[in-house]
Amino acid sequence: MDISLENETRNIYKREIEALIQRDEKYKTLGPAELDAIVRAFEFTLKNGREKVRAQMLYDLIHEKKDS
Amino acid sequence: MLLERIRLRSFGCFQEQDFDLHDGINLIFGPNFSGKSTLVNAIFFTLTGKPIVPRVDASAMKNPKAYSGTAGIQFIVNDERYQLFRGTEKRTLLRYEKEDAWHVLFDDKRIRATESMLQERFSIVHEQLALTTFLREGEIFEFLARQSATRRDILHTLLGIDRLIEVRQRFIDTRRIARREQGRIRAHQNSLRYSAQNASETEIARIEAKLKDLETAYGAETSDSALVAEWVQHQNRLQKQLDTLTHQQNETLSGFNDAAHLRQIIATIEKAIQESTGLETKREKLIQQIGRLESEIEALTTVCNTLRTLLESGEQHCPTCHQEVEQEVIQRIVDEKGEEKSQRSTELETHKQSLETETKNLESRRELEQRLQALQARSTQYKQRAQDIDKIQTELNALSSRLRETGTQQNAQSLSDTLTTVDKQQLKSQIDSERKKLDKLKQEEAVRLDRLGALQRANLDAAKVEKTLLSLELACTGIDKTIETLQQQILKPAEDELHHWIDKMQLFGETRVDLQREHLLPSLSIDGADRSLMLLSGSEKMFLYLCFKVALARVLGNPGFFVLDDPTLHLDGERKTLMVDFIRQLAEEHQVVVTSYDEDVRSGLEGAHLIEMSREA
Repeated sequence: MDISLENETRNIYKREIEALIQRDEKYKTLGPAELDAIVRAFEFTLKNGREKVRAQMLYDLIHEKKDS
Repeated sequence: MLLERIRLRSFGCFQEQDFDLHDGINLIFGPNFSGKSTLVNAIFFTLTGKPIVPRVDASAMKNPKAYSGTAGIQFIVNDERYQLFRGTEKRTLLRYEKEDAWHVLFDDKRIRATESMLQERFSIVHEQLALTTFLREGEIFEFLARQSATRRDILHTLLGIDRLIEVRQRFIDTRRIARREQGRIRAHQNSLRYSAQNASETEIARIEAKLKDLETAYGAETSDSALVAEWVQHQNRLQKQLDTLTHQQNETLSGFNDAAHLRQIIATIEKAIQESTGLETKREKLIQQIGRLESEIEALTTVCNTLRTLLESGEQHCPTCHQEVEQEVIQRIVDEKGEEKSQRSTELETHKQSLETETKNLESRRELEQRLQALQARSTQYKQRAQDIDKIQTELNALSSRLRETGTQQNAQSLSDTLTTVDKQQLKSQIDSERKKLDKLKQEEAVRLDRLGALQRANLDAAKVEKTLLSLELACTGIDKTIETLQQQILKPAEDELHHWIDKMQLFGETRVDLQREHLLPSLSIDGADRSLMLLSGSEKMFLYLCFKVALARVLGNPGFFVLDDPTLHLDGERKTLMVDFIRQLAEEHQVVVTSYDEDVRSGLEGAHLIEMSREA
């Protein structure tokens, strides 16, 4: 993937997540910490690829992030 | 990017040759086998490290006579002049011009490092370049002949959607882990809920109150009389023990008049056993004697039989010793031996009877020994119990005398005192029982409170996992939305661009173009009727595909030039003119490199920078 397209994709993803939180009632309980964790997990996987990123890593990233 | 020069060293059919390129249209013109496609391949190989024709090894592109080959291009990006060389042995060299001198920027053999450098510096990506910039021979037909899913995959790769799908899959895997965790926590919660319920607080309070009442009642009654009550209680206990022992003692003496009788019987048995000493030896001797007698009888029988046989045979001489046979003498010997045998047999019978008697005696003695052991054990037990009884009796006597001394065991008071003592005993026993119950309940309550704490922690964990699951759901939905947005952002402009080119080339008259999301290929509605892409003529497909390529180049990005290898192949005169027109329009905004062997194209592109190729070159 082209780097500019990768950056653009990341921005689109963040905007879409924010829009979903605003739009959908069931996501209202999620706060900035959760949003940050999701975007970080997304960037991490997009950058490192499926082979290097295990599902448990993402689980830990999203699950633990909320404590901080 | 403006291409200025192609530089070849031992590449394809070329030994060492440079080809200058200009802005605008560059026509590489020449007959077949003159190296036109090699120049196209050289540009592609220099930029990507791969041959333009898929599944061809890079080493096959060198000159057959050389150890390795090199292709290079000189180009300008943002007013900076660069030279990029790529060897068939994978070495890549990038240098830039500064103050009339070339400076090396990059020199490496590692493929990934080279790819990253070119992507970062010039946004060059192999797949993107192949689809948006180059048209190689036969490409359109290969693309259209592919399965729609394969076509979609190619474009998904270009848009980065394949990567997004991978990320989504990872999030789905992660949701699976979260669900497993949720299941585990729920099971834990259920087990804790069960053991954390049924609070015993009310029951504890009730027992505590009851216990307090009982203790108060017991305390009011307990003074000096408490000691006496304890004594009486102890006395009763001792009496009970004494009764039990006496009963057991009576059982021990069952079958006997008294203890003296038991001792007398034991003495008698001991005497009988003592008298029977030597029974085994006597029996052994008898067995030996019987054996000897049996042997003698057998020998006598043999002799008698032999002699009788001799007599009956009427032989004059003995067959063994050859002496003369004297019938009378032999008969006498036979008679003597027969008598002797008879005596031995009588003796044997007597011995056998004696042996039988002795065996019975021995068995009786063994029974006596066993009986003696049992009686001796009973005697010992009797003695031990008698000692215990004496001891308890002594203690009981002492206690009775103590009670007598305190005067509490007087006939006049005995009835009421005994009753009070019994009441207190019952009260004490009730208090002990309630205390035990209370201790047990308190222990259970402590465990319950511990479980309750664990349940509260599990509830927090459950809420956390619930939120994680929601986050992951949002993450997946976010990716779906991103894919939709990306497709819209790229497909809509591509569709507009395609419309622009179809109008510009006056293709298909009144058309409506729809880039279908699934196949990512144009679907055409011509004069109000849907027309399948595959039903277009060859030249229509070619133009549509070229327009689509330009449209994709517009939205995905293009290095600034197009390279078209023989685009008029199979086109008739009219369509050739249309293609020349297309190239000219493309060249209004881009540098275009075209190869052809067609004179019509040469004359149509008059004014273009001409690179003439010949087979000799």
